[in-house]
Amino acid sequence: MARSEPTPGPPGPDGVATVAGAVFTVLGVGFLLHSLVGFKLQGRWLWPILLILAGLAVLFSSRPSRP
Amino acid sequence: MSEQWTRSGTSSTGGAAGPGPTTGRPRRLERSTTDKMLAGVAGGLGQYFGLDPVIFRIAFAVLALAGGGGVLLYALAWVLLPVGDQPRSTLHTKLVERDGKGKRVVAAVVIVLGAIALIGDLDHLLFGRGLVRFAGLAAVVAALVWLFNNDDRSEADAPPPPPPTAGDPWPVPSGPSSWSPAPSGGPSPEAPAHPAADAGPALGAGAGPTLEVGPGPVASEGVGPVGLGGPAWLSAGAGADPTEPLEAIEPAEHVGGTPPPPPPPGAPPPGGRAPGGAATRSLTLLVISLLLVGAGCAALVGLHLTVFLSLALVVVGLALLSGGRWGRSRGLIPVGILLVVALGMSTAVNFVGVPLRGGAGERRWQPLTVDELPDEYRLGVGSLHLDLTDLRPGRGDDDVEIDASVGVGELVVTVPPAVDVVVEGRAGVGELDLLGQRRSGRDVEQVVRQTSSRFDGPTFELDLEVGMGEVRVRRGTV
Repeated sequence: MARSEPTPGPPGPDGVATVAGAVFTVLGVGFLLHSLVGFKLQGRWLWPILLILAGLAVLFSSRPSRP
Repeated sequence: MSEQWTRSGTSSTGGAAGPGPTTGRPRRLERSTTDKMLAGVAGGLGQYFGLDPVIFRIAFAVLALAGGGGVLLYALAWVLLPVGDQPRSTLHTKLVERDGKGKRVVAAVVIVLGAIALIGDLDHLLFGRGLVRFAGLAAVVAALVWLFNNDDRSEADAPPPPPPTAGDPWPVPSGPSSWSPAPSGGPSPEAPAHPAADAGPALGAGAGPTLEVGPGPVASEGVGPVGLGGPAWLSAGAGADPTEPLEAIEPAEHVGGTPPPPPPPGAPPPGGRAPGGAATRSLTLLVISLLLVGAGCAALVGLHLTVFLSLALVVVGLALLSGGRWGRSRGLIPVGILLVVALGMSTAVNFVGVPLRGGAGERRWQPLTVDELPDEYRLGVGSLHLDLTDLRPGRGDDDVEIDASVGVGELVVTVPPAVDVVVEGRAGVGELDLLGQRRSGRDVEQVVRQTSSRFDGPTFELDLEVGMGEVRVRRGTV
């Protein structure tokens, strides 16, 4: 009696990709502002914002998936 | 993780189990549930190494007083070592097996830390640093307590696995403990000898409607329930006594090419490739293609390299954000990392005042007349060679002014053998070698003048700079 292969369901949110995307987006916007309007990238502002966004991204990606 | 558990148990079976309640089970470094003063770390170390736990307690105390390392080590051992007969550490249980709750808690901690750091300056103005540090410490402690304070309750509150139905010959065990294979070495009160013991009554020997174990018609053929598609560790082999407990088999072992055990819930499907892999590759190729096309367009319109790289990084970030919602887009992460590195170099070069313009690669110019000299020579990344050997200005001509820069790389200028030269060189980070005079370091500047008694013409005035790299000026040969 052959048993059918379990069909994989749709992939859920990818937390790593979401976090990396948030970080890259913020860095890109920061560098862009730095290039265009002279916005000064300062670590003391940048890394807390990155932390917050990374946390939000993890929160967003770890929402309980629908059954 | 489950394989590690089994391997470590198998490899240490028969070894010195050490004193303590874990005798009879494979020796494993774990927190003790019996000999404990705080979390059982020292007690577990003592049981593992066969030493008095007081030795480890004293060591932790000494290290804690000498810089605080003992506290950190103890905390790490607390969260990284499994407790008692639990197969995995508390950290793994909280972060991986709790349906995202642990991740949300960690995310909350990260957000709190970021917010505290962000308002740090404001708080410094209003209250001083002390309150912020206290609040941050309190937030971290509260989050950790929230994260780790319900070890036992989480296990006890776990709902029992649903009994398998007759139409489901391969019931998927629910819960972390039911999935992990038990350590070898026979049953013990602490550790069930078989994962089936956790998985519900139907998985016991001869108890389920289809997963019968023992000398039945299927098992007698040497196939066992695995032949029906069941996991390999359910096979007891022909002639096995149904009353004997089953021996655990490592998950990697399969009988006769039978399929491996079913993956735990949430794990990627067999083959290690998550759904959406093709889409990921397509998305990655699409983004890379767009970046290449954009680079060409940027070069055409003279867009600043840093602006283009920033836009590319934003595109990659947004693609990761959107792709992460419906599948796997991790293939773009290396692209983003490369862009960040390039942007960092670009920013560093701009920081030292050298424009990162002019493209990339190796450029060679050899002007023959003064009229061919452009206003400036620029190269973003690469090697720029400027050969002025054949440039012979007349006696009444104006001075020859050369303005050249390289963002990252080397700038080499060769001047005629017998002319008056004034070189002003700068390097953000790197080395200057101006007509034999060397200087290196950060923010290096040097001015070199050389006159030639054989020449009575205009002076070659060179203004050369490199952001990161080397500037070399040498005289050509006749």
